Amino acid sequence: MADRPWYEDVPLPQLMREARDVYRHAVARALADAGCDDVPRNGPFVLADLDQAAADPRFSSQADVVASLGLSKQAASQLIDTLVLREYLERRNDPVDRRRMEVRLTERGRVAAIAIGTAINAVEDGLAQLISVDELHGLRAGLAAYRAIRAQVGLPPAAGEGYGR
Amino acid sequence: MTTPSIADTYFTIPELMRVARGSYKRAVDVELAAGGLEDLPTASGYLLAYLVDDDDSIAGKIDGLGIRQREFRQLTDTLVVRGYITRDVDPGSGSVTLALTERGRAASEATAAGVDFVDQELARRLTEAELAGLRRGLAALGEIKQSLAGPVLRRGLPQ
Repeated sequence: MADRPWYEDVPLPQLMREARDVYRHAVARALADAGCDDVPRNGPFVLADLDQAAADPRFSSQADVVASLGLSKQAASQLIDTLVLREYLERRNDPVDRRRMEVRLTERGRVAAIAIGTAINAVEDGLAQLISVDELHGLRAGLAAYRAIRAQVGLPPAAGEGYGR
Repeated sequence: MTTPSIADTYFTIPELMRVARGSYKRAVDVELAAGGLEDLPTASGYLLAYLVDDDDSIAGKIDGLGIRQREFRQLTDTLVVRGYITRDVDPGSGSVTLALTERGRAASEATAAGVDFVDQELARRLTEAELAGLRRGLAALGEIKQSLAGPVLRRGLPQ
């Protein structure tokens, strides 16, 4: 009889804990390799969601790019300030409504955004090699079920944050 | 043709993982609050579980928790002060023994009840194959994370 897989008897919270942050670690390594190791926490979420065109990338509303992070207004503002100061973002007043701000990737920001995307794809390629399509569906269904259970245990709905595609 | 579920359609895996986070902690917190045990420090549920099944050495417990020795000492200090565990030092050998108090046992049971609630909800919502896929997928992500271990991993993203 085949041995039971090691993970069969490991409690789910422990499996969750050990799997947690895999994307963050992959992204941290890719950013360091790209010479972008001063991206602040939550910065990758902002950079990955912006237009990555090499020439004249499109500006996006600053309010929109931070909305999904669920940060306070002050924290979101500090995050954008840091990304601008470290030359990942270019910021300007919205030409239509001068009270609003817009941001887009600089060349350095584009390098970082590409590194982030590549790192995420590498994790997902690795996952695809390790598990079957049915298991991948189970992983997604299970994680989605946790999302529903959040509400049952009284957690507020999570903002739709994530690394954009 | 079946309609694709939300799990397959709308969210990337990093999004799903981020949203999934916190379910166990919150369920445990609810159980602890019901028992008047709100001052149990975060992450000590694992330590209490180790103490219930006391087959592991102190070094093994530190390793299993994934924390540093100093953090372990601080955590146990807090648990002693708050009445969850006792700590006895053998005057001869200097070896340390940790044991649950009644309050600690109640917290351990509340922790287990919180975890059990979430696990039962998962079992109710998922097929056996999906649950097996969840386990295999999380294990695979853990394996990938291990393979990424290195100086950058330990330092993490700059603040």
